[in-house]
Amino acid sequence: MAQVAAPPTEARVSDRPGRGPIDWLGGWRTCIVGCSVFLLLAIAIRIFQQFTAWKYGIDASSKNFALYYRSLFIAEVVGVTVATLWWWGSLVRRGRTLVNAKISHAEEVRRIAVFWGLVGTTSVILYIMASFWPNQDGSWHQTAVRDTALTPSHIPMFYLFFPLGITFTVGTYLFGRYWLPKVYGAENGFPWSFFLLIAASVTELMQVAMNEWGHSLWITEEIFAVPFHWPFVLYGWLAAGIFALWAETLVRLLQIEGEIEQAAGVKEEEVA
Amino acid sequence: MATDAKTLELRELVNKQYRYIDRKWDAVFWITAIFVVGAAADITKQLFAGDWDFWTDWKDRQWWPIVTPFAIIIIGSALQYIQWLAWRFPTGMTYTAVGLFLCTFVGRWVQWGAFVYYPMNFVWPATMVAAAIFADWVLLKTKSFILTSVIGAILFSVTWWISNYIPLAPYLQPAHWMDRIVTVADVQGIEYIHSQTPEYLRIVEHGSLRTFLGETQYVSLVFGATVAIAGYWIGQFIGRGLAIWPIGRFIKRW
Amino acid sequence: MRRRHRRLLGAVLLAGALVVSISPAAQAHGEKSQEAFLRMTSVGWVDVKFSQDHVKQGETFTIAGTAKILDAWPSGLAKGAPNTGFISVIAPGPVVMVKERTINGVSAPDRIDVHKGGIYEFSLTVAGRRAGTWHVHPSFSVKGAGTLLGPGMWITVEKNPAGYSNPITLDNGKTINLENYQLPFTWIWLLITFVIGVAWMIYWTVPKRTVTNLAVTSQIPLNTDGMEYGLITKRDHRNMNWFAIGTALLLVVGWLYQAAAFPTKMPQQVIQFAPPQPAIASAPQFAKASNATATYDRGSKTFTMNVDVTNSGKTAMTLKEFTTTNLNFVPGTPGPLDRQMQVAPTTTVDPGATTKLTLTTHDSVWQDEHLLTVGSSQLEVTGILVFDDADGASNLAEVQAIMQPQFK
Repeated sequence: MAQVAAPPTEARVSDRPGRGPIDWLGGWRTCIVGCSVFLLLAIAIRIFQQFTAWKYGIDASSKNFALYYRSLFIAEVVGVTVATLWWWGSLVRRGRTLVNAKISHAEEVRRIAVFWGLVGTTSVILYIMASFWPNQDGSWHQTAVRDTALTPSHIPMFYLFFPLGITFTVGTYLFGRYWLPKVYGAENGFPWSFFLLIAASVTELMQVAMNEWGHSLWITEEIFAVPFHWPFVLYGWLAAGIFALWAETLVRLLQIEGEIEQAAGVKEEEVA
Repeated sequence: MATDAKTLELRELVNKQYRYIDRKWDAVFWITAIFVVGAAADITKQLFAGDWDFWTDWKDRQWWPIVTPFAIIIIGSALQYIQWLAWRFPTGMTYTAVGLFLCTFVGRWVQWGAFVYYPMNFVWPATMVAAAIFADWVLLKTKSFILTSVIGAILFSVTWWISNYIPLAPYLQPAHWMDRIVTVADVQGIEYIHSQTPEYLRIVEHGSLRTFLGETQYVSLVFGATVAIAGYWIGQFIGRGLAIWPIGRFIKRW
Repeated sequence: MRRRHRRLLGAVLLAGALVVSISPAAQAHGEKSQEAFLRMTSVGWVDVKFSQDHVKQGETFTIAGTAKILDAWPSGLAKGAPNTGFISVIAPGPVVMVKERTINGVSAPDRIDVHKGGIYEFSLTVAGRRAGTWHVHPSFSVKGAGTLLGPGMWITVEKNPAGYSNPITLDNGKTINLENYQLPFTWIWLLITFVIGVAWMIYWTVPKRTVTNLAVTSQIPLNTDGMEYGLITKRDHRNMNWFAIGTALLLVVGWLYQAAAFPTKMPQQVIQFAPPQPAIASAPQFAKASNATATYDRGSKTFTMNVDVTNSGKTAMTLKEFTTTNLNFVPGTPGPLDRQMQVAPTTTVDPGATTKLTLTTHDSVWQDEHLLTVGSSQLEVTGILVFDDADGASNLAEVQAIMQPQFK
C-alpha cells in the first residue's frame, strides 16, 4: 500500500546542523524518502510476483489466483484510494491555515526543496508506471495466455502505480498551491504546467479502460506496437509539463536570491 | 575590442555564488529527472517499436531501421531543446540515451530475463547512445535545431543502425535447423516459445517483386533517416509546446 | 493503532477474505476465459498424445496429433476465411523449447497456409529447458483470430546433472550453445557505448553548474552557445570533438570486427508454405453427423448429446472418440488425456444406416472449463466425432449441436 511522506506544514526550517533548508536530511529529506519508498514498493511487489505469478497467476478462475492476486488487487485499489484521499484532504486542510502566513526566505527555499522532492517522487512513479511494469507486461502478454484484465502484471501497473501517478501529480499541485503561493497561489489561476502533468496521469488511467476493451474486441494477438496502445504514449508526452515545474520554482529561487541580495544591499546602505 | 557591460555582467553571473542554490539542486535535478526522461523514452520506444526491440528475430533490415530511430529520437529531441535552452548543454539526446539504456536494461534483465526466463542474447535491447553523441555534437557545432534536425537526425539514424548491427551480426549467421538454413536469430525465435506471439505476427522483410536485390538495407536506412527527421520535430513540439511554453502560464477561468 | 485506522484495516481484510472465497478451484491455464463457442467452433483436436511426462533438461519428448480447422469456423473470426496458421506449444514461458515441427509429414519451421476444413497432422519435438512442473499444450494460432489451445498435460522437467545447454550447428560447421552464444560480446559492446554516454554526461554536469545557468541563458538568444560568457568554452568544443572522433573510431573498429568474426550473414528468414494434404483429408468420406442437440444438467453434471449419424460406406463404422476444444471423450477406458462417455444404443453404425446416437458424459469438466455458460452470445457445442471403419480408415465428422440451456 502507498505510504506517503507527510510534507511539513508550518514554518519548519531548522537551525539544527544538517537539517537546514538545503541539507540532505533537511529540505531534501522528502526527496530521499519519497523516491525510496516507491522504488522499494515496486521491488517488493516484483519479488512477490517472482514466487507466485507463474504458479498461481495464470488461471484467473482458480482459488489460488483469488488468494494471491485478486486480493492484492483489492488491497491496492482500496489502499491507494484511502491513502490518496487522506493525503489530499490533509494537504488542503493544513494548507488553508498557512497559505497566507508570511514566511522567511529560508523557509521558502526549504519548501521549494520539498516541492522538488515531490516532483522527484512523481518522476520515480512515472518511471515505475511507464517503464518498469510495462516491460513486465510485454513479457507476460507475449508468453502467457491472457484470461483476465487482472493479470499479475496489470495489477501493480494499472491498478496501483497508474492511480499513484494521479495521487502525486495532484498532491504536488496542492502542495504548490498552499505552500508556494508566490508561484502557484490560486489567485494566479490554474498552472498550465500542472494541467498538462495531471492530464497525463488522468488520461493514462482512462486509457486503461480503452486498452482492455480494444484487447477484447480487436486483435486478440499480442504485438506490443499496435495502434490502440499508442494513446498511452501520446498521453505520456503530456508529462513534459514536469519540466515547467522545475523551471517555475527555479525562477522563484533566483528571485529569492535577488531579494536576499537586495535586502543585504539595503542593510549595507543603512550601515554606511 | 572593449567588452561591453552586459557581457561582463553575464560572465560574472555564470560563476556567481548563491546563498541557497548549491550543487545539490543540480544533483537532485539530474538524478530525479532521469527517471521520467528514461521512462518517457522507454514507453515511446516500447509502444511504437517495441517488438522490433524485444527480439533478435525481429531486428530485420526493412522495418527495424525505420521504426526504431523514429521512436527513440522523439524524447531525445525534446530534451535537447530543454537542456540547450535552459543550461546551454548539448546533452539532451545523450541524457535520454543513458536514461533509456538504464530503463531498458533493468526491464530486460528483471522482467524478460528473471521473470520469464528468456536468454538475454535473444532479448537484448538496442542502444541509442552512440547515435545520441553525434546528435548532441551536431547541436553543439551548429547551435541550430533546424540544422540538427536534418544533419543530426540523419547521422543519428545511420549511427544507430551501425552501433546495433555490430552486436546483431553473430545472430545473422546461417545455421542448420529443421532441414533448412535459417539465421541464428530465427532459431532463437522458434525455439524459445512466446506463446501469444505466433510467428506470423513478425513484421520483417518478406521480399516482394519490387525489392531490388541487395538494396533493401540502404533504402530502409535512407527512409529511416527521413522518418527520424519527422520524429525529431515531434520531439521539438513536445519540448517547446509541452515543457517550455507552460512556464509561468496560468489558466484564468477554469 | 487509532480507532479509525483499525476500522479501515478491518474493512480491507474483510474485502480480501470475501474475494478469496469467491472462485472455485481449477487448474492450469487461462484458456477458459475465451468464449466457449469460439473455442469449440474454431479448431478441433484429435488423438493428441504426449510421448512422456518426465524429461531432463535438454531431453526431448513428442506432442503429436491432428488439428482440424473446422468447417464450422465462425464468420466473425479472421473474416470467416482463415489463411495463415502457426502450430506450436503453449507453456508458462520458454520452460520447454520447440526443436522440430512437422506438419503433414514435412518440416515446418514457421507459419503455414491454412484454410477452412484443413486437416493438419502435426508432430512437435519439444525439449525440457527449465526445471519444474509445467502445464504444456499444443496450440494452433490463426492470423486474425488468435491462439487456440489443445489438450494439455503436466510435464516435469528435471534438472540435468550433466548440466544444460542448447546446441545448434552453424552453417560453417561450428556448434554453439544458443543459451549464451555471444552474450559477453553483446553486453560488452552495449556497456562500452553506455560508458561513453555517461562520460559525456559527467563532463557536462560535474565540473559545470547546471541550474544556475538559467540566470544567464534566459538573457541570451537561443542559437548562441554563450562562449563569450563562459557557458561553453573552446576547450569544451575540442573535447567534444574528441568524443565524437572516439565514438566514430569505436564504430569503425566494431564494424571491422564483426565483418571479420562473422563474415557470412543473411537476413532473417520468413518461411511460409501450404503443407501437403494428409491421407485422411482425401480419404472417402463415409461418416456424417447432423441434427444434433445437446443439454446439460448442472445438478448431476450430465451432458447429453443426440446426433443422427449416417454411414455411407461399405463396412460398419465405430465411434472412437468425441472431441471438442481441448477435451477428448472416449467410450471404454480413457487414456491419460481422455475422459469417459457412454454411447447409446451402440458405438457401431451399419453401412447405409442412419442411427440416432446418444452420447452422455458425467463430468464436471464442462462447467470447470466454462464451456456451457449461458453468458455466451452463442449457445452451441461443436466438435468432431471420429469414426473408424472395418478396414481401419478414419473419418472426422464435424458435429454442431444446438445447446438447450438450463437457466436454473
